[in-house]
Amino acid sequence: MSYILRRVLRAILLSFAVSALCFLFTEMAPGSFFDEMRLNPQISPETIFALRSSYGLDQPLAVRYARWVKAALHADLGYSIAYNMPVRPLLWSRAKNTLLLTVSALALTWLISVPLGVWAANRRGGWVDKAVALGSSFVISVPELVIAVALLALVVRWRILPVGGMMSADSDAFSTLAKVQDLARHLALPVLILVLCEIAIIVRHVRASVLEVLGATYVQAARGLGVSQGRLLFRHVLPVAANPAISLLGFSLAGLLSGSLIVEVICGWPGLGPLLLEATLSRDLYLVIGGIMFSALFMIGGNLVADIMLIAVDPRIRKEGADAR
Amino acid sequence: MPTYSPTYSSGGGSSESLLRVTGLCKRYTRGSLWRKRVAVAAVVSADFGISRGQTLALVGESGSGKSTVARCVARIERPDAGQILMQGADIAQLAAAALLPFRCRIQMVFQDAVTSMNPRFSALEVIEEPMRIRRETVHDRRDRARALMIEVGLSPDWMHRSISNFSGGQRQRIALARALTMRPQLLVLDEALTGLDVSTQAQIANLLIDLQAAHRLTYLLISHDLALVARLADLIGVMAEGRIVEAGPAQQIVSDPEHPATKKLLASAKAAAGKLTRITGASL
Repeated sequence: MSYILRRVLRAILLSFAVSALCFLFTEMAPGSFFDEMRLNPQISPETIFALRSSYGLDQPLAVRYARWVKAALHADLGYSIAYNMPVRPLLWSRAKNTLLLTVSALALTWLISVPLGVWAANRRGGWVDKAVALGSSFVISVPELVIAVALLALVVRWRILPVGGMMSADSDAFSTLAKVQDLARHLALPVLILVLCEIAIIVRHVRASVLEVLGATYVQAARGLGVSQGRLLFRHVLPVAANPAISLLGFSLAGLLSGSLIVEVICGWPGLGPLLLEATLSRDLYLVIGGIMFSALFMIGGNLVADIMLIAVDPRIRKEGADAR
Repeated sequence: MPTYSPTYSSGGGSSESLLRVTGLCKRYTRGSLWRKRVAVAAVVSADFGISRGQTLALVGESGSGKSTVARCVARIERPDAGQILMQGADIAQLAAAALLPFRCRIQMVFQDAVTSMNPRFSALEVIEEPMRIRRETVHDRRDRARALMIEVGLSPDWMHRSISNFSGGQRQRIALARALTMRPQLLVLDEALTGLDVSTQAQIANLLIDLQAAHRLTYLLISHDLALVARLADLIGVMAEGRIVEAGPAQQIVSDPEHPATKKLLASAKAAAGKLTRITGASL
């Protein structure tokens, strides 16, 4: 239990550190939302000053950060200057879509890459292994942006999937099942791009982990005892090879989330990506901070889940936790 | 280069042949997707036989091919050529299913007891794993594991402890207990005494002697340490460059070596004579 507590404590500290850095970097960034207003002769400097005061931007950084933390602890992430509404509902309406995209891509990536990596390792040197090595090398060497644009171009040319948005314009008239199908068709392209960009790395890691364990003396000893291939794989190899793969889960979540922000912009998916881009361009301070914090919390939460999963599958970590006490 | 084919009747065992290996050959290929694959011969040709209840030690420098012979005999590796006759039946090329009855008769103990057991397992799980394959009941498995732990000098109260909580010597005892669960006739001991401290080495060596007497076990002992095997082995085969270059009764090999590889091993052993005398009681 102390292991989990330590991890939770670390996650909380990390969240505070991210929020502090977020504030610092947005302060250091040139320009503000009100700079464009200053160019407008119809808006007096007094009005701009009054607006800055009303958003609390005339206060020193430390004061603003302390106020924001206090409000954030009560689930208030501030007020969007550009949208003139609270940040939380604005973010949540988009974050739901980003979550749907990221979690779908995460599930699909792992559902494909784990069996593929295990298969490639188990048939080392075979045609599957060679195909995985060649394919993953190719995907890793091509920039994500190129993959995204190429797939987008193919989909648009062949008209096999809808592009842009989450639902068709006339989806209100659809039945529930038709709505789900419509959503799935809109989701397919961004998910495909994300999966393709992420899968190569995961497959390689899973393959390497399984290969390492397959070469271990205890696996050879188990073979010598006559342990069947199935039991060898599921009882001896995979539980041990799972450790590095689970640790990778947190990183893959981070990769998918940061990738999804770009893919959302390219594919026109109404998630956090386009919102954050607009907010950054218009220097909508609290919306940018809120968006980054949401992404950071999602990643920290994902890593925390990975840590807890590690405890569940590896009794030695539980023991380490007990020893530390 | 001549190869020696030791079939011995020295020592105290009977002459009932248990294992006969003829023309054993094993090559490994190196290379990758981009590099040309090259075959490297680990064992060029090995011929030997062991009678029931006796000990044959294969000694040689690192890379001489002795461990590969051991792995082929235990059928962890499939040899490229040659015969491995276990009581007359050739197991060299048998598929996994056909090999299963022979797995019970041949068991292997590895050098590194730490890495030869699943790190997630308890002592009980390690020992009972072979019995699971034979689908023995939980009750039978527990009883046998308990008896074996006592036999190898471990308290059965420790059976639920994680394997990581045992010392190197204790793990080697657990490895021996695991090997004995199948009631084997032949134990392949691949550097099973290497890496242990002097005192533990002596204890495990004594345990091996006791177990051999109690179960009429036959040992194929692999070691690079000629002096260490002098006490345990009835016959010694010296390996160099994938072949058995000299073989004979243990005392004869130690007292009157012929091949340069044997002389080199003896010279190394004599250099550490003080230590060896303490371990084995053997004088070279």
